[in-house]
Amino acid sequence: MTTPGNQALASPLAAAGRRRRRSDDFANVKLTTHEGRRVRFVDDLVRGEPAPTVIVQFMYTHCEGICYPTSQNLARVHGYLRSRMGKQVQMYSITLDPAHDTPAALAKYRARFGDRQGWTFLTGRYDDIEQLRRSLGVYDLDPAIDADLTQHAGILTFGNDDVDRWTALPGEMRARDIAHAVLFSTRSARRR
Amino acid sequence: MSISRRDLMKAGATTVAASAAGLPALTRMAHAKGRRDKRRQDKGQPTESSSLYDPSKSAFTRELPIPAVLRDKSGGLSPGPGKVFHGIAPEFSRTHPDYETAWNMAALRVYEMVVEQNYSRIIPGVDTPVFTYRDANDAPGTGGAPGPTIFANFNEPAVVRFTNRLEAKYTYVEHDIELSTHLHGGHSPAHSDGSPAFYILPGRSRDYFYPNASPRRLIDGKLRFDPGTIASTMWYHDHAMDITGFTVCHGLAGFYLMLDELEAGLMDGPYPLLPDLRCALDQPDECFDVPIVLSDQKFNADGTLAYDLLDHNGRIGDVFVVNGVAQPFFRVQRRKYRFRILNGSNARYYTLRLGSGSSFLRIGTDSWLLPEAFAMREISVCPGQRADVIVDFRDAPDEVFLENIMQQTDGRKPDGIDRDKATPLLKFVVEGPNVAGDVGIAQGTQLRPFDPIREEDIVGTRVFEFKRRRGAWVVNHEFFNPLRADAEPTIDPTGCAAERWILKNGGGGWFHPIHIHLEHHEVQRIDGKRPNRERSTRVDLTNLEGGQEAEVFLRFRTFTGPFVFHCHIIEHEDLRMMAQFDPCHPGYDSPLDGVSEIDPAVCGVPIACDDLEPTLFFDTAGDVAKLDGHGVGIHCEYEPLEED
Repeated sequence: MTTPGNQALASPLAAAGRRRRRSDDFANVKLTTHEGRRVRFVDDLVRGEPAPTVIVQFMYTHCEGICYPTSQNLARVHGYLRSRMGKQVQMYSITLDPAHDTPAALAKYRARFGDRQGWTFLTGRYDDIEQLRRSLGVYDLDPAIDADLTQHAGILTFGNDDVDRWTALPGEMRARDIAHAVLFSTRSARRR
Repeated sequence: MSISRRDLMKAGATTVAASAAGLPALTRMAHAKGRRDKRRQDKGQPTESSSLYDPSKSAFTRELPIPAVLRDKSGGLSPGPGKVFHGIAPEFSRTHPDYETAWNMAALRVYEMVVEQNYSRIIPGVDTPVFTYRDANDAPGTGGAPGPTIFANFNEPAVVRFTNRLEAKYTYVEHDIELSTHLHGGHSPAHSDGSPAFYILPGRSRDYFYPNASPRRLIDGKLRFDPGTIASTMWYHDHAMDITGFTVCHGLAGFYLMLDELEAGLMDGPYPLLPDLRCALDQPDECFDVPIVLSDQKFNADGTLAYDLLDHNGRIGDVFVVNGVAQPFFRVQRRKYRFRILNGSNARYYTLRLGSGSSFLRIGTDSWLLPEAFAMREISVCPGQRADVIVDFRDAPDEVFLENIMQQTDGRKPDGIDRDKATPLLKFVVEGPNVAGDVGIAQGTQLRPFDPIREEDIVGTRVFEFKRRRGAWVVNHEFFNPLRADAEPTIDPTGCAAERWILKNGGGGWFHPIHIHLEHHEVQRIDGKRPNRERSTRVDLTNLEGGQEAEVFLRFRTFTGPFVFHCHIIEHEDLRMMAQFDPCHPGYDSPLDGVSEIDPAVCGVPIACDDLEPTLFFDTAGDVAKLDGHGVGIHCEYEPLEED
């Protein structure tokens, strides 16, 4: 096999500094979990030693038509990743309607899918969550469509901060394909 | 000319990795991989590229690089064709009817390319890490972006081995990058077509079999290569699932030019009509047939390319790049040149004109020559499209600019043409006296005859609606599933039968250029009207403006699938604005039922659990199902699905 040429090029790469990561642009907002725990999105949910692979969904409990099927599909994804959940992989469902979705309401909604380890529901200040959503690329360029919260409930954003790879996929795709994409795109993190 | 263009290119325009130690401090700033202890430091903001690139100082100071032509692999392929991890197409065997009877396998040529990171001076003084296709005959670290031009004579089949060296340890990014090479405009077996999940995994190789033949059709009672479908200007580029936007903007694209008797005839004789392409092989300095790829780039403050993996709208850059260099110049004689212009941008639309006010002579669209040359003052190309043109510099002023007048601010759609706001992309420095008797091409010159698909050839109609739904994209209300065939056209052994496809843009104001793999298509109508003349014959990419509906005819023959068709705004494609067709022989159904695996021999997938770690993937082959079936899949990566 040909020797990769890149080894010879190590010197400019080894120079000082740290490359900017995608998570530097995630809004590091304060959130509250369904258990009432206070966290910051980037510091506590995305980063770690090692960083978890995270799957982020936006939802709200009373949008049954769209959020529920995506949540249900997420439960299937959870099924595929069960042995990794809560350890290598974390799932975050963040409400777009914090006025209604108190931690208690989220805990109740979460219970509909069983007590699934590593699946955390989160609420916070409306403005903070809007900022977070946009910083994850979950928005529409058309302000009228962007104002329709149901439009944002269909996208799953996932990645791993250690390897700085992020992907988004439709949340209604086959659960197995989503599980595969999550593991495949973050596989470098498991080899560090 | 004492210094050849190739020498100049080597000396500075493209990739000069070896001299990195002598570069200005700026270039060595910060490509380093993040170290954990530095995480919370350095909150430097990403920058407008303007802080690194000032066109008023730097534009048109560097010569246009011309990619070298890929050379036959010295000593052949070792191991031989197909003896690599991802194998070779099953059509590369006597089992395919065309192998013995049509393809000239005795003329087979073999090539090898290594995909690896290198540095490129896209903008002066800054060495930007890019990904390159490197001719394996050349030393490591010498690859450029765009990649080498592949040259093929018609019906001289080729095997091109691609090896993926984009493991994280060899690149500036921290994750491995999987690849899949698509030959855009090619008529290739599914294994070699760059279906998004037919990967070249990191550290692995895949042999792409390009028959370099056209489809066959019953003509005058005999099955012959369909002469109207022989391609001229194809391009190869990465097409890996979910990450194509990232890889292509990092340089993974190159030209693939094919020459048949008809087109060579236009270049031959005492009074040739077209500049000779074949000089590109041995005398690039004297070549007047020049490939030009347009792209737009954005930079971070550290000189790396700015690419947001979570921007799903479409990447729009603020630095205009031609053949890998920001706003270069090109010395030309006062004669006719052929420029094969490719829009290699992820999401930007261009409308091109010559600043001198002269017209282009249009000779080709996408991969094919037109039936007849004609003059055009402005040329529009959406992402992935090609415009093959002749520019006549006789009597031209000393400077002529190739300009873009299409304005665009986001990936939704271009803002429109503003003729008072032109961005110069490339400066032609016109030298010497008029050259008499160069080539005879002129308005009305007959090129490649067009024998259109006729209404009576149509055996069926399919409708595909491309639409935004809940922040993602659907085709006919379905999200992309690589295990599902969204169309199962029948392979017609006579090569004549055709289908009518209605391609609909579901609205919302977004533009979507739709690219169909495998075969050209012929646009009948867009919103009931005939398309523009240059797009009314053979194309492989049709733009749909918001709400538009295109009626196209296309044929299915030669190869079974899967093949994809998709939006060529790559960020839309990466969010899976894609569907799949699987041509089937009469009486057979597609195995792509949405659940079952594909034969792993076709896509070259490992089938044993051991093979999956650490390179776990489940591609179209549906390894999960395969492994589940063997009872060995569970402990690899997956849990059995719980009952709901």
